[in-house]
Amino acid sequence: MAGASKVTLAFAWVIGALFVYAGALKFWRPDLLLADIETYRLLPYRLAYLFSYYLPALEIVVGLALYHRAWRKVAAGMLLALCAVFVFALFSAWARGLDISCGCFGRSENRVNYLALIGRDLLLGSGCLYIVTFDKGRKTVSARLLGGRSAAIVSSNTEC
Amino acid sequence: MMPSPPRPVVYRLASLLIFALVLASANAWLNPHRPAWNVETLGEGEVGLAEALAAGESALWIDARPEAQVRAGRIGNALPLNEDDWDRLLPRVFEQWRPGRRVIVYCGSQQCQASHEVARRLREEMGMEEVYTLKGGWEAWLAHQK
Repeated sequence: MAGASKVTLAFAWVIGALFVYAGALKFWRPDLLLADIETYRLLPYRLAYLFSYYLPALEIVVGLALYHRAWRKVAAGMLLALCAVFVFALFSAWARGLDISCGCFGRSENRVNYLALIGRDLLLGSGCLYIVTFDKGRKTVSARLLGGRSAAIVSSNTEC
Repeated sequence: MMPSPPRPVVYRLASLLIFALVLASANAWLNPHRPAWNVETLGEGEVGLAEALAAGESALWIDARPEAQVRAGRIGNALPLNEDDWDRLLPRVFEQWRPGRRVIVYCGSQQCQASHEVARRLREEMGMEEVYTLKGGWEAWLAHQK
């Protein structure tokens, strides 16, 4: 199980860094992100406007939360949901033959390769799913203070 | 024993959403790159159809859609120029362009990105100054013709 927790930690660090980076790139230019969101033709303009501010902030906050053990599982669940939304949006745009700009990492991607983008989001989503499934969450106070198996037994009897 | 409700999960979820909301609000308040709240407002480097039509033939019109679509119909004598055939199509644009002449680039619709990319490359790589994108693109033109 120690191996599983190391893998979980590695996923959390990598995925957290990616989302913080992606969010930071977009955070400074909501005007460009709004233009990118508009290309998907999924949201009314003013809702897209609000998302152009909220989405980068959410990516940064939730990406950072992945680094804290107590918040990791919830953050991974939220990022999993975000990845699902991104995949849906990409499939939808692909099916409609739209000329979109991904908007995933700022304006670095001018030519959209749908398969690569969907594959990347599925990969990130799989990492988040792994964290949600295998992360053990925060240790209880008694477990941290006493340590070991006896503490786990105490915590399961008194703090659940 | 009753299963405990996942209250910590809900609290943490709500907290993250609220933290993000606070950060987004601060960004909306402080960030100078604020997009237009009104969809009719022109964005940076955009020109409306009425103004573009007023420029008429004095402006150099560029159609950034794929060439097959340009052949099917274009605005006036617009020249095709897209990123797929950039090197082949660019010389014709330069034949028609002269310093100070306004350039208006359009693509299929308000949502397409091709005109913005072509305009950006003309400004940054070719050093053209008066380069604008047509708000609404080809769809706006068609709507105007009806």
